[in-house]
Amino acid sequence: MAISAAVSEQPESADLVGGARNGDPAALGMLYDAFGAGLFRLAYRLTGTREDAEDVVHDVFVGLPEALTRYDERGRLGSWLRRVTARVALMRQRKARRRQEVGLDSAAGVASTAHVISEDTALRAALDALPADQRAVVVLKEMEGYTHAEIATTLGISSVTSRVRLLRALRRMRRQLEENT
Amino acid sequence: MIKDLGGLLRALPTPEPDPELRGRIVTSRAAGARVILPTEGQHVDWRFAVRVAAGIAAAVLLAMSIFPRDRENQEGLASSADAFWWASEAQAQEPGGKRYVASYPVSDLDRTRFGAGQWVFQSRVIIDGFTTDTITGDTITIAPGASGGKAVWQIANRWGSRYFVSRDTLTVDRETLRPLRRAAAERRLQRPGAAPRAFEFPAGGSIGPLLLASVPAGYAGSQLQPFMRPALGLIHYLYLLPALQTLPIRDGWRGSVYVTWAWRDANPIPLDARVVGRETQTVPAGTFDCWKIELQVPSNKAKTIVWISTDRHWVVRMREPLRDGAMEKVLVAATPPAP
Repeated sequence: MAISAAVSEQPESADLVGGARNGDPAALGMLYDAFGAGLFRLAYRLTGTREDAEDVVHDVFVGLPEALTRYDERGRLGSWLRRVTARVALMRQRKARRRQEVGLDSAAGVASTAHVISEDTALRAALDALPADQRAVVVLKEMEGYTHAEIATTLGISSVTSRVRLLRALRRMRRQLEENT
Repeated sequence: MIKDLGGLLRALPTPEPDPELRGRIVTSRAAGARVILPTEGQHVDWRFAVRVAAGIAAAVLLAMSIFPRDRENQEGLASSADAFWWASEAQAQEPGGKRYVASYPVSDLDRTRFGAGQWVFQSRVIIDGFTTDTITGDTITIAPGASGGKAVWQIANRWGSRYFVSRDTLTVDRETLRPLRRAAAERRLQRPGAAPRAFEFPAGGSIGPLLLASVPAGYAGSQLQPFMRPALGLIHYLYLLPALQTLPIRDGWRGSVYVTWAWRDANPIPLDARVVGRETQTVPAGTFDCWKIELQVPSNKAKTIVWISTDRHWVVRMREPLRDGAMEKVLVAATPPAP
């Protein structure tokens, strides 16, 4: 089958993109096979929960055929998908923040008790305690390897803002981790 | 002092996605789910958005203060106006722009074809070759009755899905088929018993038989949105089926009518119909020899196809094109039964 052959050699081949753009379930499934795990990891880092991350990836792939009509195929599909996924995850975070005003208290409670568990848990708690805007910059820069210019494009902010948020976030995380150790 | 915070963060473990996620995605697409993703160039300028929202709100308040009577009537029939089938674009007509007239006005309806009966339709969406679940059903019932000493027809449409049920009844004079009264009642299953809402048509109004409009000679035309679409959304099934039954259809026929809002006659919408051939259609209600008819609002190139039986002029199937599929209604039962 032409599409299968294409995907094994080059996941972002024009055939596959064209098939997904036309709503071909097989092409969509192959794109998921190629990029789904990586996008899930990104969504998990941004949202902090497995459920939210799965919802984000689900929404990205369900909306992909229509969104691909705006993909000009000049850049790499993987990078484009990651930017879209990051935006979907952040939109979801903002909506959740508006809906759940009580979430802050419970998050603080988790953070205050996490230090006794393990280094990973403490680090996760420090990350979770960050405001969503700062967390996004930390995840994209420190964990995903984006440049500040790429973060600026993805989040719709300036490069300077991205740098400032990263500095504040890292300072805050260090302070919290040192208090807990 | 923690030095390599980035390294520690990158080393944080992440779980694997649920193995069933892939299947859920494909199933959601097949079931018609759609998500609009925020791709490049779609950042929102919030200051601009706030200004636009404020402008829209001001315009709405101004319109409500200028047209209080119209608003009252719309509220009276809100149960049908908020229906899935009711085209939102049709309610957003803007003044100005090109005007459209009916291409081949039909002056006389064949009233002999109008009579008592019941027709049950089911609606479904077909996307990318997949047929989704049935989304709504319509039951049209036409029964004789009397109102204010006059012989009338009661045309009732009960429609809905497992989530909601709506009823809509049009009373027309049995001799002239002119509308007298319309009552709409939506009854959501969670809160049964909502009171019906009614609208009396003024005597001498320009809404003609079966809610079709008769326009004056030299009519300048109606202002239409370019994306207005003909059938499933624009024309309420309550009077679409009876109106189509009474059109003088034959091989090669073409004709136009002006459809109206169900409660007002301003800016009637021209609808052109053209017989493009004959086809045999097999639907749950039976097998019918049909005329295949294209319906078109002149402001839009999109055509809705209706198959109307040649013997009794029943609507057997209707298909409205979507961007990547179609929306379809099919006749699943009828009384009297198909011959």
